[in-house]
Amino acid sequence: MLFLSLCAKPQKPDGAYVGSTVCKTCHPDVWFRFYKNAHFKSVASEKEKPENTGCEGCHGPGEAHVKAHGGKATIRAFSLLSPKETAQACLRCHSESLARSNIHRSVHTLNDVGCTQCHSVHKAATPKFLLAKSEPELCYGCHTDVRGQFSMPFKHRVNEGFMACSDCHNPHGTPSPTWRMAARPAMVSQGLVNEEACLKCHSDKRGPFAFEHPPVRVEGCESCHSPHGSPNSRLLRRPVVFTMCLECHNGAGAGVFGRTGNGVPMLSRAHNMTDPRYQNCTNCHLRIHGSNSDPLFMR
Amino acid sequence: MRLILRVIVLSLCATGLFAQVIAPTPDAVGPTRGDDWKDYNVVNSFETGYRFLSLSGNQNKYRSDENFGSGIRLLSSFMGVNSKNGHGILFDEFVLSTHGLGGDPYQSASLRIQKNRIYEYNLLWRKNDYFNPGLTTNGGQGQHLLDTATTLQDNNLTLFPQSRIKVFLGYSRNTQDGPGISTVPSNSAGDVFPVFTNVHQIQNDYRLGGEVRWWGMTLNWLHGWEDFKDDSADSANQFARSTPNHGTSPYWQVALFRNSHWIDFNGRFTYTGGQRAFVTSENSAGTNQQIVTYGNASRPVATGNATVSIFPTSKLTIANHTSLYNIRTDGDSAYLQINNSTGVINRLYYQYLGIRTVANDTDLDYKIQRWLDLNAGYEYSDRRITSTSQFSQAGSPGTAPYMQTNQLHAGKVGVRAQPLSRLTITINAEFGRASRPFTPKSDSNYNLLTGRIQYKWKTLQLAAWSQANYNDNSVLLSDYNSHGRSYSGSAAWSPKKWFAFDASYSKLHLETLGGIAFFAQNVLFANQESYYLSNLHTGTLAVRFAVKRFDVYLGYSRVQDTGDGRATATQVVAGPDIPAFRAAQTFPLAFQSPQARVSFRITERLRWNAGYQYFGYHEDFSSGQNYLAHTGYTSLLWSF
Repeated sequence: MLFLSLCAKPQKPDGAYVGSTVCKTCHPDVWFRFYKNAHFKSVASEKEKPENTGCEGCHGPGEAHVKAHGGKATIRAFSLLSPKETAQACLRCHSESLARSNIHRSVHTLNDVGCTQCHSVHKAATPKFLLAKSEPELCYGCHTDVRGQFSMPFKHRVNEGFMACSDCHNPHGTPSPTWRMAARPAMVSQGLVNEEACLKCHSDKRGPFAFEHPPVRVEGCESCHSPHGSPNSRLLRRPVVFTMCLECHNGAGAGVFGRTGNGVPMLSRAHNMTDPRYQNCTNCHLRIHGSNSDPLFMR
Repeated sequence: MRLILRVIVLSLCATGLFAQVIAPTPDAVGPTRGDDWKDYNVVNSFETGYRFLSLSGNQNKYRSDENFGSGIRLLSSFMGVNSKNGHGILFDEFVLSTHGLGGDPYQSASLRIQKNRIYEYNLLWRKNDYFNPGLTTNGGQGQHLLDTATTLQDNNLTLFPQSRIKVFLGYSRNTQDGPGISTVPSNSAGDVFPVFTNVHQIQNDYRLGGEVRWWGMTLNWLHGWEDFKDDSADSANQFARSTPNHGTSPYWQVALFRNSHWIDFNGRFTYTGGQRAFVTSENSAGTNQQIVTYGNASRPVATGNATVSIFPTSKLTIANHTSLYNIRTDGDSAYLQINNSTGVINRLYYQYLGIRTVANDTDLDYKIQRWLDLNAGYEYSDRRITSTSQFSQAGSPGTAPYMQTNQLHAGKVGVRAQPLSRLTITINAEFGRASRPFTPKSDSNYNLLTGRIQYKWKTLQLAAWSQANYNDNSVLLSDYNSHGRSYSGSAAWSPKKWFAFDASYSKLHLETLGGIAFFAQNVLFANQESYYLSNLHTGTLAVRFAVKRFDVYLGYSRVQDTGDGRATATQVVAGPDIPAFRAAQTFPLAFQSPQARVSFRITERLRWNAGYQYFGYHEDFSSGQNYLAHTGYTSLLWSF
């Protein structure tokens, strides 16, 4: 496949180039502030080929457009392009980035979300990445359910400006995750090149530990936590801890569940579940993500 | 000029229409201003003011949820310097922005400096004061006191960012410090008592990498070293424990990729060699017991990924992704527990956990018409888990490694239609079947159906979304069924330059039924069911309008879990007839936050702002965690 890709010729648009100085005659509003645009680098370098710099780097050769005194039909107008055509135009330069190397398997691409639906080259709200709106409002525009999740009492501080969606997600697609069954999720970026994104910040949960809580490594943090937000403390999936633990630790499933296939261990007889002391599991099993000195995670 | 300014003000403000915190004020006139200085354009703004807080109810819960306090703040600042010709002496772009400095619980600063073709430097610094209340409720919250500050910084420097050969340098630091509560077993029955702990963790991450482009291919490599130190220590009367845990995780990533007109290829290999050395030394006079643990932990992780995307025609895209990852958690350790009274010595040994997964997925995307797009996919994963889970006592050997495998087959299908130029309809479905779930509630027999409708017409944007996520496992006693249904909708409308409206609503219906077994007063309760039902409604509303020199914002958000509709916490619905279980089946609550802000333009470069935000948290069946908080601020925003 690599050989085939090497044999393929890169895409080259046809036509004659007139240079950006011609464009600014009719489009001074765009050109006036273009020095603040990241794409201005190509103009400033003065070493790029015509097809890789300035207005025509994206909009294609402008000769016909100039001769026709304008018109969208005579130039590559992104408002008329399909999402796939837009992506092809942008990826001509922007595919040379590891962060976008999986864009063709991104859920966004599969659902025809094109580059210009999130990025606005000429009317960007953010100088970095030229986003059409700043995060998280940009993402909320489509992911309306996520907006509600970050309004919960317990949440990662996205609305507060402390974090951004792109801290954990790569909207351009990622390799398969190294947790769960490797199929999902498809757009969670990885920390330390191959770990769950949560561990970028929650480094104390990384381990390795002498005694790992196996679901943390096998299924990932989402086994117990709702990462965006939750009405429950510590982003837990249940309001009361013991019910969540008991859903797995029921002693059943011999031959099926658990790290030894003998079920997930049930609580010992010493646990009197009518006693509030035993209902707060993590009061005692406080190193629940892993421990170096106690297989029951109590120290 | 004023009209233009107002347009800019409102268009920029609209980007922050759904801000859930009242301050800082959206920088209404930032990027459009600027003064020229030599060959640079300089944009600057500062918002300085005072926050106030008035609180009644559970302070700890408020600190855990919001934590905004009183005091003088540099609520936000922005400085942007851009070279107008792209040939600055030291830099062509300098952007510095800060957020919440001076005492807010969520503070951040970002810096970006770059000179075209030479370098690009990005810094992100963040500080979060994290508070988690300890043992404050009788509802079984299972929390521990934590009052820690987490500080994160990421530095990334790229040399020659526009050339065919790039060099990457990076440094990240993550520290967590502060008091907390830990626990220690007080007897062989497993009873515990709380002890104070002083959390002190440091992570340093150093990165060095490069990228070479040649003949249309890109070779990217990265080598990093992550150092971690945990020197938290517990102490109490007649008890001492120290648990230093230090280690290094060197990691490598090599990627090779190429894009062309009809085929893209990318391959990536990563390796992380996680290492930790740990010691636990514990002396407890109360239990007359000594514990010493020492050892080295190792978790090498190797992954390989390869993606091939083919475009046979302009309408068809086929992407195939293959991944392999292998994780081994291994090491050596010895656990020595000596009871000075009985002389009994216990030894524990390291547990081994190995996970090897091979996955392949193929996606096809076909554009039937310009307005109709179909996609489908198939995913296959094969996972092998190997472990030794027996921690042996003296004289008894550990178990032989146990191995299990499981496979997941998942199919996906989706359609995207644009029957009208303004209307987009997307429907996606995914069906997965795993042969051997790892836990009773792992994805085993799941169905995911998602639909989305979006309508855009001029300044009106309507969106609706729905998802049904069912996971139906049924294995012996452990019947586990999780049915989640989500619905959401939003509307955004800005018919006039001086008016914008935004509203959203979402509902999550979550219903899970799990088989449980437990002991109560030495009696085994087997074949019980744990039933949990949540009906979570979330609504947000925001209106912004401008009148002469005033810019007014009104917002409201409400989260309400209506539970299962019961009248009392212990009302019998389903499951074990034990009050604690009944009370855990549902958890109705309400969390609301109305807010209002006014911003008055004193001059073109100076604005006065004032805002108020209310936070109200209310649980229906317990008042222990309820609180009412009145927060607000007044500030001056100076910009040029």
